[in-house]
Amino acid sequence: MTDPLRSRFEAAVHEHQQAVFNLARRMTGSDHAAEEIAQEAFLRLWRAMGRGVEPGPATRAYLYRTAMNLGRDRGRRARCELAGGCAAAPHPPEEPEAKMLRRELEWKVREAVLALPTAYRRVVVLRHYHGLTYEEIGAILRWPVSLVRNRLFRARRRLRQLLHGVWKEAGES
Amino acid sequence: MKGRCPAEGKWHALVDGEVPAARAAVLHRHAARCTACGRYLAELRSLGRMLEVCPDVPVPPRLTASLLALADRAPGGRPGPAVGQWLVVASLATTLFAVRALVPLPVGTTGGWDRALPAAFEALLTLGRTGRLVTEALSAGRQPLEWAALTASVGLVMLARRLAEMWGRFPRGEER
Ligand SMILES: [Zn+2]
Repeated sequence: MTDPLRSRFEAAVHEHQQAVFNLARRMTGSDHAAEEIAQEAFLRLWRAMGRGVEPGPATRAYLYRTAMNLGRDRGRRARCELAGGCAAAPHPPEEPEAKMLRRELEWKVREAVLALPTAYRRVVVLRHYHGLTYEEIGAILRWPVSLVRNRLFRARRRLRQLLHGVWKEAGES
Repeated sequence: MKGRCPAEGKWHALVDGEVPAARAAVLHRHAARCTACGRYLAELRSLGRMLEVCPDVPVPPRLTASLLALADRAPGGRPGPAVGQWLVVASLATTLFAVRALVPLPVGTTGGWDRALPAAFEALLTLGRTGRLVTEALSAGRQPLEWAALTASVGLVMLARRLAEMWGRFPRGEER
């Protein structure tokens, strides 16, 4: 016999774990912190479901918001602990140059996103990596759409400054 | 960009797909004939492409396993250990206060009851208020620990004040 509550929770894990883990990873710059945040966010979901306050269709928003809040203070604590795809890891000697350059670009972009103030990083992550609309972002962060628009605008301005050199190189090559 | 050019924010809305089709067509036409706006739009798009160089990574299998294992715990039950502990502390302190309100009645008098009973009633109200604050904090999705600590502290300060007041208000038996 299957417990329907458990089934719904397991479905939520399979549906959202990838997004929640990557969101936390981009907010904190740490694989380890991202795992802890995902654990805590899903634990809170499970407890909420048990208390009968299941978010239902708002599960994604609930998990994203929880992960954002949990990641708030860990942002810069563990910069560039990232294992997968981070250029801080030593290159294998036989790695082709093109791949090496790409890893370097990837690292610079990730560093720039991590260098943004938290509020800016939130909108950039939700817009660029999760493809959410202004309205969806506003619902998750509990911000009016005008604030989402404004912060995204400022965040991009900051990113353009941070990535200025990279941009030039990429444009010339 | 010149005075007649659309504001920068309009181009951001355009690349984000937040502009209705008719308005988007007008913007595209403008970008095609205005060098400055055309360049700005191209830069915004290239920023978006640059951010895409950092793809999602797969979830470590051990994380999936431990997330699924969360369902082995009792669902609901308690809002979280930290909140639970604080609620217990706040409730205990309030109960003690309620008892304290009744116990130190002046020996040999009956006049204390009419003051002690309202005080006990107020203590119960404090408990109710604290509970309501915590419930609100939880439903608002705030950091439960922060809220619980805050509400419990407020509750304890109120209790301490009431205790101090009562200490002065009720004459002790041996002093009579
Ligand atoms: Zn123009």
